Amino acid sequence: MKNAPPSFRYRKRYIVFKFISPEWVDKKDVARALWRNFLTLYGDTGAAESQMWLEYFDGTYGIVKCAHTFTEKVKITLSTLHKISGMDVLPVILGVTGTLKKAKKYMETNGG
Amino acid sequence: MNPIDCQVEIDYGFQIPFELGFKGIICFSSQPTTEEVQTLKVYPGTVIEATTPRELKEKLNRVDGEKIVGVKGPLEVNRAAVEDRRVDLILDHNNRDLDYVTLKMASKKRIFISISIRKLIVNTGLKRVREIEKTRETVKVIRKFNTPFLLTSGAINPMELRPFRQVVDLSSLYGIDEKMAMEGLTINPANLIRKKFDPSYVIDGVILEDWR
Repeated sequence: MKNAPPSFRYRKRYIVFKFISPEWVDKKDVARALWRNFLTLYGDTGAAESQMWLEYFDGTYGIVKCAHTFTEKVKITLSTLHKISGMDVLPVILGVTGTLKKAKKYMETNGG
Repeated sequence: MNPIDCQVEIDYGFQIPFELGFKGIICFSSQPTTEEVQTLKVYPGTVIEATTPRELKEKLNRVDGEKIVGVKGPLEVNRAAVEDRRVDLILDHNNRDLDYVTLKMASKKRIFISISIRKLIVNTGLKRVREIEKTRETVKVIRKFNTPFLLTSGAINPMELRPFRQVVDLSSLYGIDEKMAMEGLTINPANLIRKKFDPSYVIDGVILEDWR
């Protein structure tokens, strides 16, 4: 299908976060845990509407993309992450931005 | 804004709550300390776990007045606890039972009720659903009677702590709005600490200005 015009596209938000954990965490495990948590909290329809995607993760710092109407819900999902592949993690949300470029800048200024 | 986490049961990692933006914690661990980690104040607390009201009274008689007294137990223990002025707060845990009468009495006696986000973090599936359902009902009654409440992490290990902004976000699942959440994280904890540790405090609204 042809690309939708800008007014039809969903507005994005990028949530910058970091994990405090004893070891590095695998990106695939984080994505899986994030989806599993989102599905149990908000269901299939919520997950479909959220447009959530783990954009970047380096083992400690990460960026999650979502629709702007779902920012709070994705933040809650991130906050409820507790164990990833058997390892205790403490997710800390550093901020929310509107562009990926700013999100990366935000991450760099926070030590990522 | 000075957020204070009022139900923490950790023995180590006091650096983490400071990094997460808290100005103070009330520590209910087995060896409570009054140490300060940079600007983080650690207030000592003691947990009284009882199965019957009689056991609660016996344990309360043995507590000194220097610590914040938190109670954990079944419904009848919680009901006895809110009638006793030596109790400061009713701690939150999985399967905690609080009913309408208990919350109404807690409002009258100004006993604080803890609402922790730990139940959202460590539970999954149906158990989490039940805990959310129960806590939402508790919050409704708290709102009705203006019962003093504290929004806490309820952490028993440092990894269960969350930054205070995330505690506010998570509390929305319990039907707590931002204004109420901030009250439970800043104003009410400050009142509890003043009530317990300020020598000039008499009762709510009355302060001893000068004494010779």
